[in-house]
Amino acid sequence: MEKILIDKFRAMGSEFFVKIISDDTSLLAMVKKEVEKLEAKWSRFIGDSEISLLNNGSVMPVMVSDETRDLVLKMLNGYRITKGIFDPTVLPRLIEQGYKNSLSDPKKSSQIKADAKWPIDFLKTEVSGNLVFLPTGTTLDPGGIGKGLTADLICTQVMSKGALGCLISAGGDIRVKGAGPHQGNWILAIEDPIDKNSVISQVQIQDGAVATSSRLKRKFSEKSNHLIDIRTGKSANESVQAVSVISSTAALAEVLCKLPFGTSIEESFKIIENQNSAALVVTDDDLVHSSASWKRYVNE
Amino acid sequence: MIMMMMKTMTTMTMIKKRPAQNARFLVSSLSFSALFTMVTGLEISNQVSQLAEQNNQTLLTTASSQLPASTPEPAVSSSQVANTIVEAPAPSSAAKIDSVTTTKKKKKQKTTADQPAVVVVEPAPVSEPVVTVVEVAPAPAPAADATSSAS
Repeated sequence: MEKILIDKFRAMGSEFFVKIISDDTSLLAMVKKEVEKLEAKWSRFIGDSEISLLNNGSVMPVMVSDETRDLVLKMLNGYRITKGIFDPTVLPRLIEQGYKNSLSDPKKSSQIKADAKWPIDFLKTEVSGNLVFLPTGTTLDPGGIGKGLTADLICTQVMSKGALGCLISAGGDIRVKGAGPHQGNWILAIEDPIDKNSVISQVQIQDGAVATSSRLKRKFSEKSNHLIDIRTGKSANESVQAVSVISSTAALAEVLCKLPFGTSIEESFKIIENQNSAALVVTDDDLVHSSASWKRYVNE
Repeated sequence: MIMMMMKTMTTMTMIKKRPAQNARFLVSSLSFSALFTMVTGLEISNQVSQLAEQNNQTLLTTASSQLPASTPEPAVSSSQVANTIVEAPAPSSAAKIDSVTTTKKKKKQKTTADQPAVVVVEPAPVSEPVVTVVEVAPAPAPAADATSSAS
């Protein structure tokens, strides 16, 4: 008989939440193991991870795994469709703002080479098979897109093992696949950026993803947070508090989430809707702005 | 009635211009004219007697003078037709990218269903049926499976 299997654990500096509809309890252990494997490849706080080799290696190109090659390709695509507002090369600026050490293990820190710089023409990156050639001075921070892609990949793996439905939340970036427990759908709440015990919206999705970014989380000082506004090179401090995006994959939702922190809400919504996605933006004046497609998913 | 009579006269004129095509039409329109004349005869005769006192004219002349000058129906130009067409509203589209909806933020308490739904069914004990009247309350909103938040 099918059960709903649930697990929670910490990885990639965030809380993971897993919900699988299956009677195969071994799937929970498989999920945890796969997350650890991806963290070992993508963490900038692990010296011999593939991302650290790309960031600090003296030799280019670098041979990487299929998963890392896919991550770099998705970074390039995200950079292209957002016209650089999603920029995975801002690590030098992120470190300047105060995000050098791991939040989950402060003893771990990012090391980047002396010639690391920003801005970079990221589109000059070349990917040929599993060989990645980064432009000189480029450093990559997988950050949110890494968590989103983790949720996408593992959801797909779980479903390939015969589960009826799967939900993976990687630090609040959620991917769902298969039949959810609510007449085939999954119901996902959007957290209030000010009050984590409250929600501001609830959506219903059958196969897709929701990602949320906020400048109020991961603050290093009054004006420093982990979201870099590419217009200034400093932490985002405009009126946008939080952005949630519904999209076909968690990786794409994560990319599109960054738009309102780097351009106007109207311009952001145009790009997001063109990607067949929907967005919700909360601003400092306590207003909630939703794009045209958002109401299709609302379950309230 | 006057308009009907005008149309009959117009019809007669049209038949005159296209005799080869309108034989059957001619018979039916003439029959209609005769009927029409009988119906309106009474009305016209009252007007005629008034006018006859005034200027002593014949029935046909008087009747025709009572009618307003036959004016052809104004032709409707193609531009006028175009102006009267009402465009159907564009179907609403999810990709209407100019639409932004702004509302005041409303908060709800967060609830998350995270209990495993392992169901064990036991046979119910046999008992006398009890009829209970229960008020139908609105179903509560289902708890969310997970919450999306910034990490």
